[in-house]
Amino acid sequence: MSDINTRALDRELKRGSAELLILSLLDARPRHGYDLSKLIETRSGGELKFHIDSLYPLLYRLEERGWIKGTWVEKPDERRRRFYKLTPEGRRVLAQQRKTWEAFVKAVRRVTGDEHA
Amino acid sequence: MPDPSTRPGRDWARHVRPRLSSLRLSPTRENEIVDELSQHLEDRWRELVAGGAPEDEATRLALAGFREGNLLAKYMAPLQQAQTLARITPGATTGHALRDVWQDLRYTTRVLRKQPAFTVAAVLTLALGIGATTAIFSVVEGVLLRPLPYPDEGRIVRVGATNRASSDSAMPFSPRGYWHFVNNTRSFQKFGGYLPQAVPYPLTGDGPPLQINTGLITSSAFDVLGVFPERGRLPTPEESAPRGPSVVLLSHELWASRFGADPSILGKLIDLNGTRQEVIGIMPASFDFPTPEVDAWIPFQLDPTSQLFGAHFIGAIARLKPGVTIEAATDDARNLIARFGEVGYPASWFKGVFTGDAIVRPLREAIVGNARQPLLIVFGTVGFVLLIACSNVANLLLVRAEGRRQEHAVRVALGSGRARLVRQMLVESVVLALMGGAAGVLLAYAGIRALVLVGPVGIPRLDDIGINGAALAFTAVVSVLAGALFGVLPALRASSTRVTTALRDSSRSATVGRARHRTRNALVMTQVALAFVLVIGSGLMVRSFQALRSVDPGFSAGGVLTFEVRPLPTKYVNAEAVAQFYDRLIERLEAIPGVIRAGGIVTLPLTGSANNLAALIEEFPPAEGAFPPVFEVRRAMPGYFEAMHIPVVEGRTFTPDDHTRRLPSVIISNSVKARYWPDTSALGKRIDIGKISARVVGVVGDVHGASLDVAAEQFLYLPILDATGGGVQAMTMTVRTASEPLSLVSTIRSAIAEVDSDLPMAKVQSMERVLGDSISRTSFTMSVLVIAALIALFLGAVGIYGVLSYVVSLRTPEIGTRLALGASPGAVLRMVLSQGMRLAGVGALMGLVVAIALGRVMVALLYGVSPVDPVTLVATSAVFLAVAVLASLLPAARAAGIAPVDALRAS
Repeated sequence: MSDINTRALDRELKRGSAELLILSLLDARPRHGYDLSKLIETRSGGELKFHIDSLYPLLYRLEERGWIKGTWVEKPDERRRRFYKLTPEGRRVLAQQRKTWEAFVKAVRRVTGDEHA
Repeated sequence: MPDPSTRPGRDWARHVRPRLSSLRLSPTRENEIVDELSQHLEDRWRELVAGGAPEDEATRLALAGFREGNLLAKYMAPLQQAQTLARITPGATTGHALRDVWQDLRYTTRVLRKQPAFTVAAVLTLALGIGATTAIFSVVEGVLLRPLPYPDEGRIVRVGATNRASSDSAMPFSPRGYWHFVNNTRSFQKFGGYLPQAVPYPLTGDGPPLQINTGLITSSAFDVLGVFPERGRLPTPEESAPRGPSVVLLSHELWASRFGADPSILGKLIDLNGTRQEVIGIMPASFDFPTPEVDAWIPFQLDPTSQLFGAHFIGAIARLKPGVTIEAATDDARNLIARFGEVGYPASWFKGVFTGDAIVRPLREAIVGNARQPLLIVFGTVGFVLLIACSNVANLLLVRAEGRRQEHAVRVALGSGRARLVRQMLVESVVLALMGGAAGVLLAYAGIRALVLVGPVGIPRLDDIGINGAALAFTAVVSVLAGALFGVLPALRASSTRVTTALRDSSRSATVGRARHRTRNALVMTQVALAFVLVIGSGLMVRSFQALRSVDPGFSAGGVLTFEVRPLPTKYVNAEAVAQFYDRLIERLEAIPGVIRAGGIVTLPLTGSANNLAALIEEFPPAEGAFPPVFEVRRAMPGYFEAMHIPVVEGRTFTPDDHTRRLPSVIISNSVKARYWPDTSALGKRIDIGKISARVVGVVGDVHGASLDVAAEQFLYLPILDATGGGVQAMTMTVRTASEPLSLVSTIRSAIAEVDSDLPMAKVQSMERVLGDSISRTSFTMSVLVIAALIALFLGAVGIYGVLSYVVSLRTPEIGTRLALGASPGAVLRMVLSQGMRLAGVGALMGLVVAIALGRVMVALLYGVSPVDPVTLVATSAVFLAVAVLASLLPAARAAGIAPVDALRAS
């Protein structure tokens, strides 16, 4: 992934659309941080990639907003892991963001699709 | 929180934690994030290794998730968790010195609040020490250190010749000598004269007669001091010249109290000492030269042509020329004195009076004079009290540190550095000390008020004393230093705690910390030693005071009232008229019921200002060229010796005939008779005093004229009128009463008003009071030392008690075992007692050595007692023995009362 994309993603992070990615991935089931970063990378075919130093601040921000909640899970002979799950509030926000996103994507398609049609 | 590095996997924490250090995370939260990110890195690393990457390469790649510039911290910074002030994990370093100290402070507050008994004990102990030190520092600062309120005061000096009688004090100038200096000096920019004592003059008109203290000062002396009136003007040199116009400057206080602060008083005439004087200025309230009690100043008119070589009454102050040192000025003054012959001094003066030397001293030093030494000794004394307080608190801290060993061990285990731990404990002790300092300032405030109220005579500038910026700064510095002093030992001890021993060995044991016992014992012995020194010092002062009190002043002070009167020279135009006035006054006073006898004398014994005159004794002429012997000459009235109960050894006392018929009578004191006529009668012997040729009519008992601690002077008493026309003006009346003297004051006042309604009654006091004031320096020093010694003794006892109690609590199992094995409670009691005695004994021995070494310092303050006075030493040791027994008894009794079963169960 190029430097430009990284910067673009960082901007996205700031703007908040990256939040949608996280919330969506946690919709199905609780996941830990590394799991989330792997999923984003593989599902985007390597196009999207979170660095450790931007992923976790994002998670903590979502947690502070009360959208997700982390819990420690301990297993013998392993480091404890922190799993995040959506809170009811997070679910509401996700639904809202999805709607906005879809509307946005539709609108973009309408604009760009017309050109290529 | 277990250390993440003990978890399985590689140590990623060391890569993660530094990236978080700039954030204000709580340590718990920080550890969580470290754990979480370490797990992430571990997962990534394992994946890379599983994918075939070499381990080093995998590590590098995993860490590549962190980019340049610590973005982690940057992105986390806006989060709330990074905003909260860190909760305190004592001892963990945050990497920021200020934040660490802040953390230490918050921790300290919590710890101190949790142990109120300890905190109160420590703060009170320190408050005693710091309070006493602050109070005395305020006195030292106000009296010794603070500059005089004159511009460039460092260049103002007092100048004088030294005389053979007392070579360490400056002799005042005669008018001739004064002008000789004014006209010929090279070192002084300005040279001024003044009368060292204020003169009591009656102020009449505008209300009831009032005796005010008048300062006589040349116009040039105002220039030397560099002061100006707050209203009006200074006298001109013409007004300071002989027979110049009569002008007066009022003190701010007199202006306000007598004249209602009326500005129109300037230019008006007031009646002072019976003459009309024009008010030309009001001096500011701060101006108190030469003495604080001066109410008005009149120009000192000194005649350069005066023939009074022998009259040395002019104090001299001067302002050094820029760049001239005290030494150069002293040389200059010495040369001028050597040339005194030029202004007519007979050569015999250089053999009998002048030493040829001069004294030039900074005015401040001259004013403070001999108040310096007692003050510094008192200051040293309270310094000792502070040291004792510090070692007491150090001991408290040591005992407490014992209870906190595990806490410290845990903190060390959690990664708190030793330096950090020491600092935390030092912060604690400094906070304690500052609290003690704050409480001490309150104590000092009260103490200073008490001190100024008691107002020991002989300590100048006492009215200026108060807690000011300098005193507060001193307290702050002393508090911090004290905190560091008593905190450093316990802190170092605590930080040397071995984690494993401390954690494993959670039970108290008598065998651990032998070094700790040694430290504590040493501290207690130091306390005892310091206290011993103070008790000896105060004991010596008490003995000096007793010795002074037991000195026979030569008169009986009880039942005598004294007061000063000064008939107006304008009303009583000659010495004869004055004498008649005094006759009437005495007659009227003795008519008062309750008055047994009334008399008068020009200068009351023990009120200073000597009047030394040379006299020629017919039978013993001085050798060729030698100076005639000098006597203390005072004029006295009939009734004086009787009123004062001064015994008659031979002959008679004065009768009214002596002055009304101007008989050539002189009464001598017993020491004069003992010197010249030890075995024969002195009656009828001829003594020439100046132009008076007198015959001895009586011999009376010796009286201490200047002070009780110097031998009684050789007195010559003259009647209040003599054949040469000499007489008196002001006199101090002495009235022996049948009841309490002060109860007659108002009756006496109206009796005086009957004789002369313009005559104020001044300096009314009992002779007892005069006697007490004359030894107030000793009684003041004694009081402070006794108080300090009592505090020291108390703290020392607390120290012994504290250590023994602690030892007993540590040894409870051991003592229980002893008792179970058949030791008698009496033996246990003796064991603990003897330990207390050992502490006290060694401490007292150390104190004894110090006391003997310091004895020299005290010699000047002592009277009639040696600094190694055996009575004091024995008494002090006895007191210490008693105190040590008392302090040890309680812990010893507790030890003897231990029930073996309980003790063994407890262990």
